[in-house]
Amino acid sequence: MHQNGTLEHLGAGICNPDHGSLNIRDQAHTQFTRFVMDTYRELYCIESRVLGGKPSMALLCRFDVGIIAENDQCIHYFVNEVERAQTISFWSNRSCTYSSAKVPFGTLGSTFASVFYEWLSDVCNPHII
Amino acid sequence: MIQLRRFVHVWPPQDQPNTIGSKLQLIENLDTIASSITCSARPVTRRLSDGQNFPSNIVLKRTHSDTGYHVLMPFDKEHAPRRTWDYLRKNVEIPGSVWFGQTYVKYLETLGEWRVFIVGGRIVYTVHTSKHPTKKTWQWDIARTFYSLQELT
Repeated sequence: MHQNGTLEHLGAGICNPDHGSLNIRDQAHTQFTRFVMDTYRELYCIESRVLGGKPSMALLCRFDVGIIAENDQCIHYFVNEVERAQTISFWSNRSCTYSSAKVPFGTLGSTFASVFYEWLSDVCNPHII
Repeated sequence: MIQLRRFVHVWPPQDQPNTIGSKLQLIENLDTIASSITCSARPVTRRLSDGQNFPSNIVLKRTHSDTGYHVLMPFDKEHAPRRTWDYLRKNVEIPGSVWFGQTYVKYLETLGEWRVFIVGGRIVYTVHTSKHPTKKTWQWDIARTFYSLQELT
């Protein structure tokens, strides 16, 4: 699509393709998730070494991922921004443009409450073992 | 805040509300990860020295970008008057803030971005966002399926 010039015309249609076999869509989902989580884990390692402790991204963060062309040929994902804590917008309302489903914000809240409790318990505990 | 933290735990910690160190440090970390772990491309980022000439086709960004206010796009008539050193010098009021230049990535504008929400090291949901091509307002949807990079190439 990039090489024949049709990629730009996809626009918002780049999200949620509804063609291709389940295998193709599963592989594409894995490719995206692996890129994000590989980057997340390595960034976590770098920041935890710098801090000598747990960076805040261990609890909550948002990775903004875009697409970039290399030498006008290959297409890659790249992390454009990492938002944390109070600077995060959750995009939790339905878009006016789409008949989109609402994001599972309750699940995000409950999961955050759970990991926040674990973090607090860990911070309050003076014993390593 | 330092006094308050003697009595209660504060999250996020005061020294890491946005990132560890500066945004340039984050970009450097992401560059390292892209070259060594994910083997992927990234826009080139360079810190600007005071008065340095910069190409007209790069994005100008300031650390502490103030939710995008200090992001000056090329090819944008509204941003053009601010792409001068007079303006850049006057807009470093936050201590430690600096301006840098970055390769323009056209697909951020034409295809948008995926916002991936990670809690406790797990992805909870992903939203795809883009600007409506004519209305210039945001449009977004939960991302459920993806194209592979091979399909997009």
